[in-house]
Amino acid sequence: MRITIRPNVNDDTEDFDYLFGLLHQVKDRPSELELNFSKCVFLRQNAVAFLGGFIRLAQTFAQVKVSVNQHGKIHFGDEKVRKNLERNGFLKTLGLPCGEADSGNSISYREDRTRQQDAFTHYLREDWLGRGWVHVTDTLKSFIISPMLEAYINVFDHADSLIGVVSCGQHYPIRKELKLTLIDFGVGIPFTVREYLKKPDMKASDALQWAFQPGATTKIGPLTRGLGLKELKRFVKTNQGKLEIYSDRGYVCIDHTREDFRDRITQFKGTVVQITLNCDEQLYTTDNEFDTDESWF
Amino acid sequence: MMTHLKVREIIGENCITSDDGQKIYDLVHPEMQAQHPVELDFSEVKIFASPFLNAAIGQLLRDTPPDDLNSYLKINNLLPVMRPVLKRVIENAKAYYGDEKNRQAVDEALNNKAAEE
Repeated sequence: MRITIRPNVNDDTEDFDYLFGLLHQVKDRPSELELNFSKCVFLRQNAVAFLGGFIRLAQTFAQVKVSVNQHGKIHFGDEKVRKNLERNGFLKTLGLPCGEADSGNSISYREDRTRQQDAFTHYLREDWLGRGWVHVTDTLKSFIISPMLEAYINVFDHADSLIGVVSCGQHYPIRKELKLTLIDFGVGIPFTVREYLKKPDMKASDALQWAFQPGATTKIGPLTRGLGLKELKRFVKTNQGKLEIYSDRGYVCIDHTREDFRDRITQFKGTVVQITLNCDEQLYTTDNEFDTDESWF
Repeated sequence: MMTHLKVREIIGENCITSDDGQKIYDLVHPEMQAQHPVELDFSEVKIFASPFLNAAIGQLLRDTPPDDLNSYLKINNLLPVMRPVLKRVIENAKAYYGDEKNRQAVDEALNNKAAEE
């Protein structure tokens, strides 16, 4: 089976539909799969992360080949795409032919089959926030990193993802945006919520909305409940960023103007968490950063 | 005599998981039960996440009255930006562990909300 990656894969909902559609194309689990990039001229970080995860997933059931020409080089529709995939380490990580390149505006493509929170913390601190694209104090970095780490840990606690989590990011200097996308190919948040609540017919958008309520978690045990999604929401609203989640048929988009929970036609039985930070340093504060109340309890 | 627990030395500079939070809880909880003062020192800790804080601190509210915690547990050198997060963890835990009825009410409210939707 041969799949030719289309020329442009951006990070709008329609682009995600295209990416999710690739999984449907291989649902019969072909024994051989060829990915051809010869028409591809533009890939955003979400597409890089998704395609990396897609290849890893396909490798569990198929012999996967990425098209190379007679000189052993992958032929891309545009040299910029090859350079980008070289810069973010995608080609190297997947064992594909590549040269050495500086990282440019790329935040590395990364695969975590198992939970490595210290290494991932370093990735967020240094590769994502430590490149001078946003000017924040070390303590504020910690605040931003924490809920992203929770999203990462949730994959290993809840998602049952065969390939763990893949991530990739990009700085867009003209748009003054810093994006990071985390993707797992597990069961999806709505599945976990439905199982926990024993509500098999619950709509995906309702399940996602439930997951954002204060106190809601599907983790069973004697502990109080998670705050990760709520903290992430608070942060992006205050800082005029954007948080998007695709899971099953559910889609969430949260920014400072809206909280949009929707059901979509396209299904992805995994979870995409995509955060867009606004690089305007004036927006980097928390709502009550300097609370000094001494009575904790 | 106050017990001084330096979280950086017990866990490291990243305090993220509930497993690590449980380690702190296991050290603090017996002292609270015995009404012995404890200083939880967060200096040099760089990253916190709510699963850690839930397990290490929020969980104490299950069987320790808030007044006792205010009297015997000192929380020092927490990064200023994380103070509101710990506050919310504590408020959440107080509501959840406040009493058995309240806990059931929270569980039911969440489940009912899901059912309505």
